[in-house]
Amino acid sequence: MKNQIQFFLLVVISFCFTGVIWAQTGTIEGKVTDSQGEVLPGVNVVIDFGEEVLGASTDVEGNYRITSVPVGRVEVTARFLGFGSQTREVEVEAGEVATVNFSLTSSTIRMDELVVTGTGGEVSREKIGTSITSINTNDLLENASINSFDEILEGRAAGLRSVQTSGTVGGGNDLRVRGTSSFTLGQRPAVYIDGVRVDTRATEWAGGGSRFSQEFSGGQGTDRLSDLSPNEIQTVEIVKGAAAATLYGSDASNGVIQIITNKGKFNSKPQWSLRTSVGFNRHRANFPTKLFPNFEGPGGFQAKDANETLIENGIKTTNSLSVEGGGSDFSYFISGSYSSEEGSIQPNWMRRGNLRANLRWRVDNKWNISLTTGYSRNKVQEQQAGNNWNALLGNAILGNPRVATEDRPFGEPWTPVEVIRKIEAFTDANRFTTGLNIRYNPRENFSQRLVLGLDAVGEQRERFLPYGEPYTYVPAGERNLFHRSFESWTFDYLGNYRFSITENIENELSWGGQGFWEFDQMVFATGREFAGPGVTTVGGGAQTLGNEQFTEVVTLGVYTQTRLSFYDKLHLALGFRLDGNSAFGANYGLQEYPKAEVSYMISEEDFFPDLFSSFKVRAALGMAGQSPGAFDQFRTFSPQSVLGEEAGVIPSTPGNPDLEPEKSTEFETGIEGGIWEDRVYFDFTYFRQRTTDALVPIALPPSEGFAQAQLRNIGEIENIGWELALDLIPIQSSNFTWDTNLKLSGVKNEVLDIGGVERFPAGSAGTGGGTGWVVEGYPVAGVWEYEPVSYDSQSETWQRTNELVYQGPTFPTFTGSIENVFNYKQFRLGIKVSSELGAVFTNGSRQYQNNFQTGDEYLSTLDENQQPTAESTKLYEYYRTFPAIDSRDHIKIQQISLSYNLPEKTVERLGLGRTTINLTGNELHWWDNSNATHPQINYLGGASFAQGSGFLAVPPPRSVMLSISTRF
Amino acid sequence: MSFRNILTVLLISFIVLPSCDDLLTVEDPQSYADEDLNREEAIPAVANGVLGEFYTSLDDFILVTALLSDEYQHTGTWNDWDQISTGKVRPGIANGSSDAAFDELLSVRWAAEDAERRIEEVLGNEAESSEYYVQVKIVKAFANLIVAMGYAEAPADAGGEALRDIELIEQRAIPQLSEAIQLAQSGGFTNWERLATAGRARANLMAGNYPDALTDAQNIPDGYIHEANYSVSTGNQQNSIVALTHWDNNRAGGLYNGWWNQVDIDGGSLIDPYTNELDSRVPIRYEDGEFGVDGSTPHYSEMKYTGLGDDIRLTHWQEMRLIEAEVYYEAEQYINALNRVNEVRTAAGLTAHTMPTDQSEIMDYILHERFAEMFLEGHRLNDLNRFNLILDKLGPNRAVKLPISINEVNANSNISFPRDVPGTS
Repeated sequence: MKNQIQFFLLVVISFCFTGVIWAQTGTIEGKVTDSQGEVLPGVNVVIDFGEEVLGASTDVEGNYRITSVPVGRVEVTARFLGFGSQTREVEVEAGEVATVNFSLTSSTIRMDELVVTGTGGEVSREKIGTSITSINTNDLLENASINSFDEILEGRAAGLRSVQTSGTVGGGNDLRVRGTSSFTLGQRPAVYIDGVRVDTRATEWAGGGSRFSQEFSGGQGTDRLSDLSPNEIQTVEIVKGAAAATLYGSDASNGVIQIITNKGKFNSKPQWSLRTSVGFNRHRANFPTKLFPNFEGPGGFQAKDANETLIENGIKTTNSLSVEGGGSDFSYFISGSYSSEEGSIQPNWMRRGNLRANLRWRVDNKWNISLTTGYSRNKVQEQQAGNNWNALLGNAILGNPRVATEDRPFGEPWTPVEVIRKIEAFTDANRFTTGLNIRYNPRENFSQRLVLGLDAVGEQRERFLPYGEPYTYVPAGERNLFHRSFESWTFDYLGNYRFSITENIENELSWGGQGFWEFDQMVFATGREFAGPGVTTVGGGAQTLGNEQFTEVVTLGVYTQTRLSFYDKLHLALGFRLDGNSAFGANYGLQEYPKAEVSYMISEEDFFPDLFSSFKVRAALGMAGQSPGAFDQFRTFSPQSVLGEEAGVIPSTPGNPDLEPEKSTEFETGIEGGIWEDRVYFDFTYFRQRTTDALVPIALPPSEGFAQAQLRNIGEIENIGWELALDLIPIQSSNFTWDTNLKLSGVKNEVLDIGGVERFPAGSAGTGGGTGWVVEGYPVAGVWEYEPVSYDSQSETWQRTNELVYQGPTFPTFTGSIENVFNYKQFRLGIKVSSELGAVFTNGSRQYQNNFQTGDEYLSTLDENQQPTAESTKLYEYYRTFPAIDSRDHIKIQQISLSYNLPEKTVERLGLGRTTINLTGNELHWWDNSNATHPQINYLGGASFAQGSGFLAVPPPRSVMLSISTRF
Repeated sequence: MSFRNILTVLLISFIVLPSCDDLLTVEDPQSYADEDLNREEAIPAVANGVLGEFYTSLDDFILVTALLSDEYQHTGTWNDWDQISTGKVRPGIANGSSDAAFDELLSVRWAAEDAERRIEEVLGNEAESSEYYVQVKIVKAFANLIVAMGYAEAPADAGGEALRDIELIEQRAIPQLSEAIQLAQSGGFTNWERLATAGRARANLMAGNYPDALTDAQNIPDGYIHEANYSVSTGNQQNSIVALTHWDNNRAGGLYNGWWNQVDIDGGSLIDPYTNELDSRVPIRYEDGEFGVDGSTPHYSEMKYTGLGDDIRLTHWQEMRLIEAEVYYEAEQYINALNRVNEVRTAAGLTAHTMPTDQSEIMDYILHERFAEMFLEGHRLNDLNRFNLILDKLGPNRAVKLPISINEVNANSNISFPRDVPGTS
């Protein structure tokens, strides 16, 4: 009874107290615009009371409203990416509404920006001792037409390479960070979506048939990162090196990319966003077949020029619609988008649909739950390209115009173009990615987070070569049906506890554990030799073949980190991760990854010049790893069908029970800050990364049975580099702003040790292969070839060097991009120019053209009667003896975008919010000396270890897109 | 939560992880571990795996030796095939195809030895009465024999020192085949006994042990044939000769141009040079304007094997009769020699030879008969070498045999460059 009375009194007092509070509060509202008066939606406006923060976001009209603000004088701050923060003081009176408007000016400074980084939760940039790039996607989408994930990244982070490797729609993209840190393992960074590890495969996987069926589409592969819709992404964070990625453990030495999807804001009205784009892809007319029409085949048939007959406008459209909003304890973001894109050479298209629902529930002051779910379906009709008998463009450019006929208008050497067009090759991927994020903050200084996630990909590839057409190996038709099932489960727990050691020393202790389970299963079925036309199923073939491949990888890790802040200027973090991985050898235990980083906001010191609005000095030393292949540790014998249908077993892999992860230890240091009233932002980084225990494939003598090499942790690689990001606003007035964004990076890659082995080819099965060699003292996957010594015109023979000669690195040693953005009233013009220098490649198409005595280079050396000359013979003999080695150096106009924001009055009349019309051109022009159709051409897929040669690949096309985005 | 509690959680985490061994254990469901195969029920698969792999390496061996001899020439775009076809293949310079065929054969030899060891371990004293034991011993011996036919040298044992081709025959193939014959006889495995005997006949011929070669050959009755099996059911079992050189497929290699003017295009085969009859043992297809993959070399396609599952004869009675013929020729028993040749010719539907005025021509008959009867069966390069005919048939400055694989030399601490190999150095 006594307890009941106490409870009753407590309730009464509480209500009374609440009433007092109610009577003691007021409201603040206002509008946020930029310096030119344009409204800014999505700006965070907050009042910080220490233990409690009140806030709201601006709506589509730039308005915000914060209720229940305690009376008295408060500071209101407006923060928005790309603009300088502003703080205003205002007196709040009980029951009254105070108005505070903001006019934000462009700023390059981002020191107070929160980044996720995964290393102990969100932390402000000023406290981090490493370089982390954060890209705000929503901002990009408004001002340029961006239709794929790789376009978000391209040229936007110094040290990150994101390059389209294939010009076919749906083809792979080369994605790598800070040089090459392995001889055999894949180089793609680990990718997380809202904390959930996801599939990043980009290599061809439709093997399993050997000579039974050819490569699915010539090696280019489809890129699973192309499943992502840019419209769903809010931010992309790039954690670049081992020092920054230490707490990610054994899969992080290639860096980490964190994708954070859009979330609805609490206390905001429903806000709809609509974006629609239309445009086209079109190849530059630089195929080496311009002289073909000068030749006639039997019967006087005039050969065709691929530039005039194959290139078309490939139409592309994207439409997306999203709505976001929320109440006091609930928010949502729901979006749907549909993209359709055709290649410039047909048949080749992609249709992609994306759905996303992100829900957040603020249960109470302590519990927050969010559920992020994305579904995509991505169907691609793949073009036959690359190292492929049925390469469409390949057969055209290797054609012999002297034998051109109606059926073979280019004199196609293997398969006529029109017959290739009858091949139906589809990749159809369904992807479901979901993450449950539970946050529990029992105290203001103590938080816990649990992420449970799944990325599931069901990918089907099907191909049909019809009966009765002259396909190499396939005279009577073939049907391939391949299915891949990928699952990645994520478990991630993080605890975070902040406390003060002394008045001026704060500590933030983080601890956590992660588990990842990855299963990848592929099933192959092939049927061939149809009795006749009309049957299109595997079972209809006289010969059928089936196969299955499976991998499983389990990673478990625990970590802790302590971040000390001295006087809120000097920040020191020490971290440690302990990892176990199923791919480690049975004799190997766990792997430790330590780290230490320091950042010093020296601009906070009184002695520092006022010229700098902020200046941070930072340094970090840390280690991250990369696990061996899933089953590399096992010594195995493979089951194999022999003697027709008998069961047989043969030696397969020698295995190595001592396998360890490759370990990359990186030291990086840098400075970043702002000057000239925040109109200049600079970020310079120097890094030195050394990979030890790199896996070296030690070939065993064939006489000892195992054809595959044994992997041993005996290699060493060094990457030394620098990165410079410079953002400046040279001109800023009420009507005109000029913003310049410069990204430069350089890297020197060197093989330090390969355990006494003279050389071996870079890459291995599972990484897409490669074309370079690993030799001590040279870059990984360097290009080596014999060189000419002399030419004897009498015998028409070339003499070559006895030894392979180093030609250059396979990846650029310098990368740069500069983007100038001009804002004038409602107009915005962006011009982006980029360049890569230092890389060379094996130009397979060029060699084959000359070898086949065709192509413009060879044909231009013939005499007026189209007969060989001494020059043409010399050229022909050269390429019979040597491959073509060319430079990938280039400079290109990567993007020009022109935007127009409809005047506020106009859109208001239409009942709309901020509305932008944009015209964007990509890959518009380039200057190079590659003797290829594009200097970045590569026939292997995006995850290839080294860049493939330019052999019969399709170059990236130019594209133009017109888009309109609006809010309402 | 107090700081002490947090530390406790941390400590527990770091202690618990090392005990998560089971969670970190995965199995490869696609392969067998070494110990999985030490069971009686696994022996058939182990032994058949060895035999099957031997067959799948044989077609690759036939291709590279055909290219180096006057059976084939390169009509494609592969540098390694070009090197072999033009006789430029050299020790110390990587050659993908030549090295691959060598590596496959040596790998099979090791697999056979490993299977022998495994059978002994599992069956103990009963191993010698196991047919599979005989089978793997024969494969081991044949691997040595085939390597010696095409390559200048090879390691004597796994990771061992190099033996010259003839040493490999004398010190390895012949004694190993003899042991296999003895075991096969004891076990009553007639088919294996004949295969081993036919192999030893060939080995003795190569070693110049003519009486032994004659005895072995005479033990093989007419009609005997042992085929290496190929199949379309899996990629690795497909006949590489068809896959890579048949007109319907890759056209990377075709009949050597020295034979082109002896091809009856309409008749679809080579013409017998002595009787101008069509020789159906060398069926050839050529259509005007049909080129190899290089787009410029006329492609004369073999038609002996037309399907990806077509079998290849490893040895047969015709080879034995021709071995007898050669032994008789060496013994100057010319009538016997000619009779053996004619036995083979008439079986092929060709008119028998009459005794020539110059009896040394019989050797030409034998050699041509071997070429035609055993076209694309891996013998031609060996024959040209045995009679020093490379210069005569193919010209100067050519490798006469394929060199030891660069992969073996690089990885084998008992063998190093340079290799002093006549014709290839």
